Amino acid sequence: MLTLLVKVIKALNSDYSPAQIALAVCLGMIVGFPPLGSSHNAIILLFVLMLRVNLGVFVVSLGLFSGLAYLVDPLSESFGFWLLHLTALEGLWTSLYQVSVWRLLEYNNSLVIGSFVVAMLLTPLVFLGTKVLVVQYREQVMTWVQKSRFSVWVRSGKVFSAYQRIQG
Amino acid sequence: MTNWIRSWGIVLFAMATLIWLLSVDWLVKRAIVTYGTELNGAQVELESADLSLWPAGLELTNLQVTDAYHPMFNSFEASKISATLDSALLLRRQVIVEQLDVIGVRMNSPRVRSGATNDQPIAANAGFDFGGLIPDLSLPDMDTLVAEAQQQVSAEVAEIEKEIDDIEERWRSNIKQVPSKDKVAEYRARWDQLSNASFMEKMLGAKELKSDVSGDLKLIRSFNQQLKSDRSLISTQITRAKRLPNAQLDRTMQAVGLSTENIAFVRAITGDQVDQWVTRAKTFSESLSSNTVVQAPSRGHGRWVTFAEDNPLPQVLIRRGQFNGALQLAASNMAVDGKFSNIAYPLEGYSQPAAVIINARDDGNASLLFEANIDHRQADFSDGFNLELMNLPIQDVSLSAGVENSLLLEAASLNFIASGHASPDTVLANVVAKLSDPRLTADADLATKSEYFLAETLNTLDSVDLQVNVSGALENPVVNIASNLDKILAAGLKSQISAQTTKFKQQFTDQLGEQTSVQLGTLSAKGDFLKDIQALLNDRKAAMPSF
Repeated sequence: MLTLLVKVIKALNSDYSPAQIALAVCLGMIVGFPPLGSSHNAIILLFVLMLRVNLGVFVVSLGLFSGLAYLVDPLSESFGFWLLHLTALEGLWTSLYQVSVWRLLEYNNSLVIGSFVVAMLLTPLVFLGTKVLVVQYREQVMTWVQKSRFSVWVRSGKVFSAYQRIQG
Repeated sequence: MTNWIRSWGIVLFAMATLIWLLSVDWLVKRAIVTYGTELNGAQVELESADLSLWPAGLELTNLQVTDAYHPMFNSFEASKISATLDSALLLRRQVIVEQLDVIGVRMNSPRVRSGATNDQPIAANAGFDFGGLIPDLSLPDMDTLVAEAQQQVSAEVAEIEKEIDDIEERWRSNIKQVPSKDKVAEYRARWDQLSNASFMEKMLGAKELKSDVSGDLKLIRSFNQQLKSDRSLISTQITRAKRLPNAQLDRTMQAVGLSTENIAFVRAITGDQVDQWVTRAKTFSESLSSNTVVQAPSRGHGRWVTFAEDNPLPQVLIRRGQFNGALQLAASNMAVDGKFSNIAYPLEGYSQPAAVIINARDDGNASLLFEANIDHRQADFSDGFNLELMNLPIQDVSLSAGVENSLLLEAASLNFIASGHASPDTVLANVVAKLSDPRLTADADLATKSEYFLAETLNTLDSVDLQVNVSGALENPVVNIASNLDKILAAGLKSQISAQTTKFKQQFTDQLGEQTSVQLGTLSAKGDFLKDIQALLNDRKAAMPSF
C-alpha cells in the first residue's frame, strides 16, 4: 500500500503528462466500476498495458473505484435494468442481441451495463478534474514543497534517503 | 505519438496470451477432473484434453468416471469424446455442439485401482431383507403365547361378566316394580266381591279394577320384551365368550406369522423401487422444463435481460451425437451403439424434440433396445420411452442384505419390457418382466429359514412374472404390481407350515381351554337368573284377573 502511494506521488512528480495520469484514473474507474470478471475489462486491460498510462495510478484508481462500486451496486444494477427496459432503446438492445460480440461483452447484464454507463458518464468529469488537479498540484503544491524549509530539511534527512531508495 | 505507446506492455500481453493458449488444454483437463470428481463423489480421470478455438472443438481422451458405490468399477468410460462446437455462439455463452462422437464407451467396467476419494463415504447397496417379508417358519414359544392369550381371553370374559352383572342389577330393580303376591291377591279379592254386588257397583268396581290391573299388565308385557332382548344379548355374549379361545388362536397365528393370508412378497420387494422409478420419472419430466423465476440479484451480480432472437437457440444444445462401445449388464457383455439428437437445455428453448436410441447385443442372444422421445416444445409436454431387454443372462447376484451372500441367484434369464408416456396431467407406464429358470442357493451357515424356503420355492419354478402398471395423474399416479410369485409363495408356505400349524393349534387350544374352562363355566351359569325372572313374570301375569 505504501509502495503504491509512493508510486502515485512519484507519478505526480514525474514527466508523465497530466492527461496520461488522468487517463490512468479513468481506466481504473472503468475497470473498477463494473464486476471485475466482465469480458470488456480484458480489452481495457490490454489498453492499459499498450498505452503509456501510469500503472501505479491505475491500480490505486481501480482499488478505490471497486470499493465505491460495491457501495453503489444496487443503484447501478437498478439503473442498468431500467436502461435495458427503456422502450426507446429496445430496438438498439435487440439488434445488439443478434451480434455475438456484444453478447460476449455482457451488455444485457443489468449490473454490467449499469455500472459501465455510470463509469462512462463520469469519465469526462473525472478526466478533466484529475487533469486540473495534477496541474494545480504541480504548479502550487510541488513547487511550494520543493522550496519550503521543511522540504529542504526532509530531503536532507534519512526518511528522504529511504524514499529515494524505494524509488530506485 | 510514440510517447503514448508502451512496447513492453504489448509484449507482456502477447506472452500472457501465448501462455494461456499453451496451457488451456491443461486447464480444461484440470477443470474436468477437479469438478467431475467433486460432483461424482469418486475419482474422474482424464488422459488428455485438446481444445481448439477455431473452429471450436474439444477432444477428450480416456475419460474414466468411477462408480461412487463400487470404487473398483467405472460407471462410465470412453476412449475418445470429440465435440464440434459453434464458435460464434460460444461467444454468446451458448454451448451448441454440432456433432458429438463418443467412441469406446464402457459401462460398469472394472478398474485396476480403486477410484474412491477419501472424503466421500461409500454407501453399500442395501439388498433385501427377506426375513421381514416372509413369515418366520420356526415355532414360537408355546407357554408364552398361551399366557398372553389367556390374559387376553380373561380380560374379554371379565368384560362380558361385568355386562351380565349390570343386566342382573337392572333386573333386581325392575322386579321391585312387578305387582307382589299380596297385590295380586287383593285384585282377586276385589274381583270376587264384585260378583255379589249390584249392577251399578259391578260396573264402577270393574272399571276401577280394570284400570289398576291393566297398568300392571302393561308393565309386565314391557318387562317381558326387555327380558327377551336381554336373554338374547346374554346368550350371544356367552357364545362369544365360549368362542374366544378359538378366535384368540387365529389372532395369535396371524401375529406370529403362521398364517398364509395376505402375503405381498413382490410388492414388498419391488414396491419401493417402483415408487422410486415413478417419482424419478415424474421429477425428470417436470425438471426438463425450466421454470423462470425472477429473483432479485445478489450483491455483485446483475440480472440477465433477454431480447427476441432471429434464430433462438437454447443455452446448451447437442444437435447430433453418436456413441459406441461395450455395456456390461448383469452377466452379459454387450456391444452397444446409439444415436441422439437435439438434446437441449432448456428443452423448450429448441424447435425440435429430443430423441435417443440405444441398441445393444451380446454374442449370445441378449439384446437391448431403448428409444426415448422428449418433446417440450409446447407447454403441454409429451415424453415417451420404450425399453426392451431380452434374454439377459444373470449370474451370481447376491439377494441378501449386507455383505454376507446368504442367498444367491446363481443363474436366470431376464426379459424386461417397459414403455411409458408422460404429459403434464397424466402418466401411463407399463412394465412386464419375466425371470426364467431361476436357480437360487441358500448358504448352509448363513441363510435364514425364510431364505431357504424362498430358494426352494423359486428353484421349482419355470419363471417368475412381474407386471407393473402406472396410470393416472402425474401428481399422484396409481401403481399396480402383480406377480405369480405371491401366489406360489403363499401355496408353498401353506404346505410347509401346515403340519406345524395343526400341531400348534391343537396344543394351543388344549392349553388355553384348560386354563380358561373354569372362568367360562362360571360365565355360562351367569345368565340363569333370567329364567327365574321369566317364571315370576309368567306367574304374576297368570294370577291377574282377566276381563
